Amino acid sequence: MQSEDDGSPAAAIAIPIELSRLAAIPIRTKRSFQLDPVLHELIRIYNAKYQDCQYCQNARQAVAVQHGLEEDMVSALGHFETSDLPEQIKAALRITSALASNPALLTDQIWADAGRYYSEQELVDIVLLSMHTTASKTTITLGLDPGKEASSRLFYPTETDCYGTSEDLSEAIAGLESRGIAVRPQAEARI
Amino acid sequence: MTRVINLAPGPTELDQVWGLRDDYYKLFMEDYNKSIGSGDPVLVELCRLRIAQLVESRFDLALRYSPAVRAGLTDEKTTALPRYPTSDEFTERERICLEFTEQFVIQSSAISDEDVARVMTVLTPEEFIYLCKALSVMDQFARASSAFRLEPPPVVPATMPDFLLPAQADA
Repeated sequence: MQSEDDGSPAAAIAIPIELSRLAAIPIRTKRSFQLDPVLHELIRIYNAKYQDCQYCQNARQAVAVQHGLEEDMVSALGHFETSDLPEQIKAALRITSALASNPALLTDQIWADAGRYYSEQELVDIVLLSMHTTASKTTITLGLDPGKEASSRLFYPTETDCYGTSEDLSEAIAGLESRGIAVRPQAEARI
Repeated sequence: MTRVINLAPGPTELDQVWGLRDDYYKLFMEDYNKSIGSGDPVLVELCRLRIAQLVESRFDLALRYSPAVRAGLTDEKTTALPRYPTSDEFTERERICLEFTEQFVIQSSAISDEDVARVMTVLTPEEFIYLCKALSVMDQFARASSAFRLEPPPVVPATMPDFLLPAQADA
């Protein structure tokens, strides 16, 4: 539930689109969080599952899929500790998991282990993204989750009705396109 | 002391850590301040402090929302917050909203239609919507503050202009 602020009550309770863009939703831009697209998407979907947001957990960032996100990785999120997910993904998800349940459980050991794989700036981004994606609590609580059918598809950064426009976003989209990454919706690409 | 070592400049650990993503910081705080300003300030502040207690955010617990202080929120009442279900300091409306806040923090997906209906006996639909949005940003902020282990600030952060340190609240 995102919105440009047009002064309406709906906009007042929505997440500002620019805030989500700065959280690298739908893609990384020069001023946004700077996480790997696959890790970013796994953190987003982990929280969607934890908060039980049907809409959020059934969509996939097309760019993340093109960077290697696979459905068995998504399936593993519910039991990531015992899964085959790479250790560096598990290290980040431990932070996300603590944020979602009880942040006081984020121990020095968890932080230090994650620091073996990520820079401190990336750790800050992991915390802030994990926090950002808990915002779906409002949608769920107000009964505004549009549901699985509304979102079971790939989503692209060029969908201006969802992500609006900005100079940073346009620049990032152009950068992806120049590398051969598909950034525009394909005909009825459903998952 | 915060667990983040390489910090941005700023007078508080909030500024120093969140300042590492300064654009996000400024816009988040704008949304935060707007979102908490739409409801009954005393109720919002009680919910904010209860969230901070639950997620163990020392940073949040060290601040007071000045509109709530001006509206009459006392230290006696904030001190009694952990005992809100039985303390005479709290009204039935406050108890119901604090119970709802706890559900929101602990597992919002488990909130039932009956739980919402109970809150709606003491809030209008509009008040309920704004309370949910306020709970969302306060919950997010307190979780991050706890995760970063932010220390209580020596001064009120410039991004939180409607807050006071307890000593200022007593003055």
